[in-house]
Parts: sequence; structure tokens; C-alpha cells
Amino acid sequence: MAFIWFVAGVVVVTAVFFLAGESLDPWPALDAAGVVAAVYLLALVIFTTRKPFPVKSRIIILLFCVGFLFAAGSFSTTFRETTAWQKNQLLKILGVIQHGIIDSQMPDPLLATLEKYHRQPSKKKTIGQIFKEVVPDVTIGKDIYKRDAESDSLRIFVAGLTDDEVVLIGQATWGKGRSPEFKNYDGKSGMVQERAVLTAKGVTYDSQN
Amino acid sequence: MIPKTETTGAGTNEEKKSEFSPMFLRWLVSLTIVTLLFLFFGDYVFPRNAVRLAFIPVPWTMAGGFVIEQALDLFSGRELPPISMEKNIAMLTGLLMAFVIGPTLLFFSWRRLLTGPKQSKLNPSIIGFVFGVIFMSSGVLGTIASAIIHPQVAASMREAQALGENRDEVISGMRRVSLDAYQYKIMPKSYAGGGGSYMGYEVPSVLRKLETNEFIATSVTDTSLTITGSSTKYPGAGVQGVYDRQGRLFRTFSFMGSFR
Repeated sequence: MAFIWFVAGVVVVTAVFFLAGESLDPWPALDAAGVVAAVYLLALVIFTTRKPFPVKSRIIILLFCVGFLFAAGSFSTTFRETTAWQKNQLLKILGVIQHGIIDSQMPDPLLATLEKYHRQPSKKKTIGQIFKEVVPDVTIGKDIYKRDAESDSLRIFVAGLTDDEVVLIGQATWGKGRSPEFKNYDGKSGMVQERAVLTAKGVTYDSQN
Repeated sequence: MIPKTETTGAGTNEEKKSEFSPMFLRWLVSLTIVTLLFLFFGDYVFPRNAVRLAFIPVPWTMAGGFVIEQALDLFSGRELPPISMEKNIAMLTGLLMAFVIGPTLLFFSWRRLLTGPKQSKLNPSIIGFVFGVIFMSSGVLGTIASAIIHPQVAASMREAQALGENRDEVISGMRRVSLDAYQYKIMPKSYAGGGGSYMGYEVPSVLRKLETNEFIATSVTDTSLTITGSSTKYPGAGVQGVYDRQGRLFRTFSFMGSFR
């Protein structure tokens, strides 16, 4: 009898585990197999602790098993919530880092241009012309971000370049910004993006996503 | 002819039979075969270069660990790999040990000990009972301990993260204020700037007060500026930074209160 219970339990729990499994999410398989295993455990306890097993022992064993199942369910739920939260936090931290790097890199050429522009005794050169001196060979759509490594996720695109105005767009190529629907400058969706506009009055910043 | 010595000595033939009953021998042979199969064919199931995980007593910890691994992959811009068969087997084995194998051995052996005939110390029921307790407790103890401890750990993690997040927001706000201050310095007076000096700079109202943070310029000279960002969420907590003539942070930030 024990052998039949043993084989039936292992086969059913294993089958449910692999049938409910998803390649990227470990929880559905554990949940489904956990429920079946819990039912098995209760059925096993009820079956094996029947008479002549002392009633008192039977109640204690049942209570212990219910307590174990409650602890397993509770831990499974709270641990899943915590790890999902940790995952979100990591991605949020990535967003904060990307915003921070864009904020520290993007203003440099714009402020250098602004300073040069206002230092001219007679404003002969336009904002656009000076920007082209500060960032040589610049064209609209060009990525002017100086990457430390090939794997660097950031880009700073020249989105607008006229005599009076320079528009830069800083964006990440992975990691998520605030809105997943946001359309990024390079055609991707949902990535971190910041915009800076330089005019003779100064630089204005806009955190777009 | 049977020598006389075989029928005398440590015990009778009856006693010897009970210690090596057919049930016990069946288990022994089965376990030996399984061990040998793993020894000879284990490499085909689990490649040699992979980390070998026999089983995880509390399988939910492995599922959670996998979610964190996924987060780290996303953090690094890598593609998410599927759950390996090795991890699936480790989780499943943990579940089976605590819910099926352990309890089946334990309760059937226990029942046999109560209802069956009296046997010697080394009998299958005792062995089954002991292994049942070991297998089941490996999952039960870990699960109950984790269920008790985890809420406290999670709460303290959330608390620490909330504090760190607020500190990051203050630093980010200070960066914006420092850029604004530097822009003020390089703009001519005709454009409401400082004409080469930080003197006269005040944090504009749009940057002064954010959701949970406040920023003020605590010290302003021609060539340097001190910005203090304070948290309204954590009273007394704040960050101070000194910026040079190029608008760059001089040395490092000073942290105050619970940001320390």
C-alpha cells in the first residue's frame, strides 16, 4: 500500500509540476504542484492515522500538517511578492542610474555652447554654429554620447539643430522608464528618455520618460 | 551437513531473518540501483560544467532566486534564459521530499510500528520512520522558519530601500539645482544671470520644493556654491554638496541624519 501511495504521489505531483510549468516563470509550476502535494499530504495523514491510531495523536498530526501547509502557503505568497518587488526595485534603480548619467552627460556640450555664446563680445556666431564647434561633425540624428564600453546602454541624439536652438535627446536602450507606452526617439518603446533644449536664454530640461 | 556453529552465536535464524526482511532488502536494492544509475548516467542528465543541485529543501527560495536572476539579466540588458531543467528538478525534489516522500515514509512506518508485530531495532519500519522524519523535516523546518522570519526581513528591506530611494531623489534634485546655478553663473546680467559669479543665486521655486524634498543654496560665493537638499519624508535627513566654479561637485556629498 505504501508503495502505491508513494508512486502515485510522486507521479501526480511531478506531472502537474511539468504540465503547469512556464519557461520564464517558476511560480505557476510550484503553485500547481504545491496544491496537489498539499492535498496528497492531507489525504495521506487522514488515511495513515485512522484507527487504531490514537485519536489525540491523529488530531495533533493533522494540526501540525495544517500548520505546515499554512506556513508553506504564507511563505510562498510573501516571498513571491518580495522577489517581484525586488525585481521592480532593481529595474527602478536602473532607471535612476540612467536618468542620473543622462543628467550628468547631456548638459555638458549645451552649457559649453551657452558659455561660449555669451562670451562673444558681439554675438556674431549663432547658438547652432557654436554648438557645431563644440561638437564637431554634428548632424541631426547623430549619437554624440561618448561610450565607455560597447555595452553602454545610453545614447544622446541631436534631435534639433538650428541657428537659435539645439535639442538633445538622451535615452537608454534597455531598462524601463515611467511609461511602457512612451515612444522613444530611436523607435523603441518605454525606455528612459530626457530632453534638453538650448536657446540663448539657457537650457531647459524635460524628463520625458 | 550444516556445521553446528551456524545455529548458535549472536542470534537465531528467526532473528536474522527479521533484520534482513524482504521489504528491507527491496529498499536496499532499489536505492543501490538508483545510486548506481546516477553515478553512471548522471552526466547525461546534468552536464559536468553545470552547478549540481540535488534538491532545495524550501523550493520557493529557488523560484525567488530565479526571479532575482532575471532582474539582474534585465539590469544588464541580457536576454532572459528559460528555467533550466536542473533548477526545475531541484525545486520539484524539494517539494516531493517535504510533501510526498518524507511523509509517506514517516506515516506508513509509524503506522506499521504501532499496528505491526514487534520487531528488532534494525527493521524497515524504524528505518522508514527515521528517513521520513529527516526528509520531511528538511522542508518543514526551513519552511516554518522562513514563514516566521521572512515578513520581518521583507519589512526591513522595504524600509531601507525607501530611505535609499529618497536619498537618490535628493541627490538627483541637487544635480538639477547645480546645473541651474551654473547656468546662472555663465549667463550675463542682461539675461538675469550672475555674469561669471554665483553671487545672487537663489534656487528657483520650481526646483526648491519637490514632492518629498527641499533645496536651498546655503552658501554662495563668486566661485563656489553649497546646496543643501533635505528630506521632508525623513526629518533631519539631508545631503549637502559644494560645487566649484565649473559647476562640478567638489569632493563628495555630506550626508545628514538617517541618510548617513
